[in-house]
Amino acid sequence: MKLAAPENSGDKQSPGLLAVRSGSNPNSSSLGVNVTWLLLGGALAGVLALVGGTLARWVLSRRHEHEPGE
Amino acid sequence: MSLASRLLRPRLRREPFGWTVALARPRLLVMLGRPTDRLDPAAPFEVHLTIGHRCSQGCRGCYIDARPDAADTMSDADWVWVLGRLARMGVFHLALGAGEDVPLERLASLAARARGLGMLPNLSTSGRQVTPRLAARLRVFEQVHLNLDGTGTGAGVNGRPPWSPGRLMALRILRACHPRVGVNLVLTRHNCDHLGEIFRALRREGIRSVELLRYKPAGRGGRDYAAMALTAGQGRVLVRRILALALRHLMTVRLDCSFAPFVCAAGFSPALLRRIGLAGCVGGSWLLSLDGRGALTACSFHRPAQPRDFRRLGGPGLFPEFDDWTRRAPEPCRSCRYLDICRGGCHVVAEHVNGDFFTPDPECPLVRRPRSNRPLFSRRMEG
Repeated sequence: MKLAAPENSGDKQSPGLLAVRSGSNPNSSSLGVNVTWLLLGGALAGVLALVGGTLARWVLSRRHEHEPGE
Repeated sequence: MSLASRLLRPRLRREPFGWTVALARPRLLVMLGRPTDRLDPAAPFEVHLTIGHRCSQGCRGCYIDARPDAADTMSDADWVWVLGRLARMGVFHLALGAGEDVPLERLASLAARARGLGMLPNLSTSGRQVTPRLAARLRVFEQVHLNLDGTGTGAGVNGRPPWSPGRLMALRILRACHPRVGVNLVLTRHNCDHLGEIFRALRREGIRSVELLRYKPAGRGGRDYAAMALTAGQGRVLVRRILALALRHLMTVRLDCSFAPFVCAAGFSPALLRRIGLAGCVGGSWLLSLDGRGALTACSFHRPAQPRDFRRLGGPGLFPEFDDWTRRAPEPCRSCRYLDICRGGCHVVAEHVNGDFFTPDPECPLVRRPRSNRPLFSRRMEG
């Protein structure tokens, strides 16, 4: 399933997953949302940043190794 | 029926933006379709039913102004009609509550009927009537939340010790008899700084689900609202603090819709907040409220001068003021990148504090400090 396009990506028309609300609201006065997912979102972003940074460093170091005259 | 269908029990509903799929196990509402700024469904996702107003507890901040001599007009036959209507509209979830003198047996009977019609009923209660026998009957509810205001022995939100022996016993009985028990906690400036202690105490009791609610200036809650509302400093750090506590105590934390401005102000991207289904004031759209006097409102806290009669349930254009808010949004909401998610915060708070429904939520950290919502580049340029 394709995820919804990120903001300002210019691909706003492709259908996909818009939102996922977990649990059901037990409170009879107002609508609640499970914010614990924000931790997962933040953690995921951290892991992606870590993996991306490591990958970028590895690619750069490989390129550096193969430069002529080194 | 396949094993997957029996486990997931999916319900599908056509929406203006695409489809909503409601799953029973795990309990999820999945919205599919073409990306749009506003997710407005064809019918409410959930409806709040306040079955009756009779209550002798006299809580200081009661938002429904429940009283021992309160007169309700809705009969059980009326409620049954309402449930049938909601089922035909395609509503997925119900949240039932009532004044504490209304028998929980009555709520359980209505919940059983709602289940029979394919909706998931949930319950909020103060637990005064809970006995082991009744708790077993409450299994008809998908989830039961006990209203607690804190865990100390000092005066809680409602002027009484929130962690009384009776309340604690009710919590333990419910935990023993129901698989999904959590706690509702009204957050005020007085208990906000004690959240760490509260989470610790709840964890000791085996509670893993907490719903935090903002104190609302509705019913008797309007009298001392200024003394109960969160301070600006508490509001600024609230969401980060709650997430840290949720992680430390491994708890599922839900924040009510009126906290949407605080979540937005915590700096998460609008795309992420949309994905988790964060919604600010979606009264009349994602949710509706009905009470024992037959009043149909956009949300439980809003008291229009002329409430709509419950027989108009499902009719079009019932709450134009809620539908129009974002179109008429004043600054700084108008230029806020979270406007379509937050929708101006809690209009009930704005109406009480500013005297005008069409004003921004005065406690939103981005309204209090609008510059903090501008892009970093322009802030630097303004230097």
